[in-house]
Amino acid sequence: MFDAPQLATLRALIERYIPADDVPGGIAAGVDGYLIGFLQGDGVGFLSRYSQALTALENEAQLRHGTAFAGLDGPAADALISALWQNDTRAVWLCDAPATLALIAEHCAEGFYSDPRHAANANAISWTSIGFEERR
Amino acid sequence: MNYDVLIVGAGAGGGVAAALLAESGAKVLLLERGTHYTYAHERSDHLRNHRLSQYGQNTGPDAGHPRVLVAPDGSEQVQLPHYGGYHNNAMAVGSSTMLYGGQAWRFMPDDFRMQSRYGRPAGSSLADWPISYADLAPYYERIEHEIGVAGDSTGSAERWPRAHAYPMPAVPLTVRGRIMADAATTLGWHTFTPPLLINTTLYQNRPACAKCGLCVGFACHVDAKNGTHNTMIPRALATGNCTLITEAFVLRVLMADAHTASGVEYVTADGVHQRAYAATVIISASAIETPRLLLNSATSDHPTGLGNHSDNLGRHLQGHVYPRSIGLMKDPVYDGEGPGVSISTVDFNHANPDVIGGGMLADEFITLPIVFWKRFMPPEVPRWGKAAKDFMRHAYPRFIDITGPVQEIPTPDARVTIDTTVRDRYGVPVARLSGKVHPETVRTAAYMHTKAREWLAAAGVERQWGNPPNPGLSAGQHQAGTCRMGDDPATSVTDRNGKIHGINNLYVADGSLHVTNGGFNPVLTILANAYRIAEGIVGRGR
Repeated sequence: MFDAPQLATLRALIERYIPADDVPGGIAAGVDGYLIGFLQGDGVGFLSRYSQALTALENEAQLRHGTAFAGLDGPAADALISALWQNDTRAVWLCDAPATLALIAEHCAEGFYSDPRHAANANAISWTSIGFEERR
Repeated sequence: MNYDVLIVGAGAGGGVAAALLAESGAKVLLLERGTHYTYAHERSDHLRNHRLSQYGQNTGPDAGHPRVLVAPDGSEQVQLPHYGGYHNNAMAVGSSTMLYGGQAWRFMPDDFRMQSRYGRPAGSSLADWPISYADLAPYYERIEHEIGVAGDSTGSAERWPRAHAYPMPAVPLTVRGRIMADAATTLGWHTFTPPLLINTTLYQNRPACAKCGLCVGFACHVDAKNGTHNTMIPRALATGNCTLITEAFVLRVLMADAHTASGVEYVTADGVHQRAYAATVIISASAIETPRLLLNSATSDHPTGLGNHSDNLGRHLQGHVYPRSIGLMKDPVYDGEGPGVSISTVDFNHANPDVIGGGMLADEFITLPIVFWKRFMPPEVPRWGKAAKDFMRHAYPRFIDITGPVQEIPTPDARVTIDTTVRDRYGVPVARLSGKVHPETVRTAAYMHTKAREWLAAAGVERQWGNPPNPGLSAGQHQAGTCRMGDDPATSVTDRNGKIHGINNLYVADGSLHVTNGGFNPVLTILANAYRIAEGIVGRGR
């Protein structure tokens, strides 16, 4: 589905979208595995856009910093993401950069804040962090 | 097979009608396109339920049952059932009564005489009901007791004097509810806890609410939520007089002659076409599928559909727009106590300055975290990164949202027709939805939005956000109006008894009959009106 660089970029992006602090971040919660499953199921129609965006994001990091997106530190990665959400692109994007990056953020949140059955909210950590629980 | 009564749709209206008729001794056939769903089936998928159907729903229908939505700009889009533009109701025994939040409001007396009170705005089809509140009051009372409502008999007595108290006490106030009750007091507003079709005590051998917090949109895991699936339909079946066939999709109503229905043709789960015959036929498929079926049942005597003699069938489609304001308190106010809604005001349903009607305002059922993320986040908060994560942690425990259904001013242009090209899995033309809410509805909604903001401000919120609703098509789970009742066949589809004008034995019993839809959740009115109609059919000897 994704090659190794794309997968590394996706994981790095997830961790910037839902960063670890005193609450675990998106990777520890399982969002990467969730997205991979989602893109083979209900989200299959988004797969090509993901692939295009991950390649372009990697190219943006190489053009601007000469390194892989996954190799950027947090502030540098966040600055790059912010620029791209503003459509400040330098690499070739085969998809709309702001819209696709927003779509991926929304999918991350769908996993992280929905029920742990989807395996992107391990041990209900997002719910615990905001005070929600299912009393069933 | 021949039956005395055939009912299409085992939801709110059909479930009540089945019980009343079967208990009268009639042989009843109840056809339902869905099946029995339980908590075990639907579990609690936060992305696939009737509150948030992002990628599907816990109860169908499936993609083989699309609809077409015509946007206000004239563009058309095929809608799958989990799309917002589909305006779905649950496809299940009990339909949405097994999934709803169960707010159990009676309409107010003036809700039945909107034209008399306010006149008819240009471009609208605002009209009075052919019956009054007094005609429906006894049936409201029966539904409250026979299905089971928990409510505040004292707090609501000023608006709805009742012969007997609600059978169960209201749900307790939540922390948010107490705050909003105090805020209303400072404003001089009256509040009380909304009536709910949810047990607060053991009732009819089912337990009290477990306060789980996953109420609206989901089946109840302890069976404390009262719908037709666990009250009226079991009553019907217990008589031995009612046959319930699930996964039976009705294709058309069959006519013996111009004035007599003879039964229906339906298709079973395994694709077999069947016919069933009855002396009386009742359509209770809700305000989109009921007119669709009647439109698709056209004959040479009724070339534009059954009941469409005056071009009213399918028109006046309405639901409820919900103005919403979300306020942020300084300190946490979330206590997690389900179902969550616990405070309301009906001070602004009528007598508002310069607007027509109004609506009830209340706090909200417990909000799923992902629903908060998708619908309740202020627009300026980033959708990613630490700022987004921090906002969720800060705001979720501190928010209070105030919203409520605004009484809509019906318009003939908001309507259900049948699409000429798109067909469902059985080859039947699908429902085509078009039109938008009347400008007066938009004005009333904007006014109610100011009242929601005023209430939250009085509660001391640090900030609040949320906009009045946009003026698109309104239907959804509160869909109503498409087979309006009336004494004059020139302006209505059915008579006051729910019988289609000009056809001697074909009835409607669902929200389609509502001439107007109140400023309240409409289910108690659907249930009570079905009770009244079914009793009338029994009383007239079918």
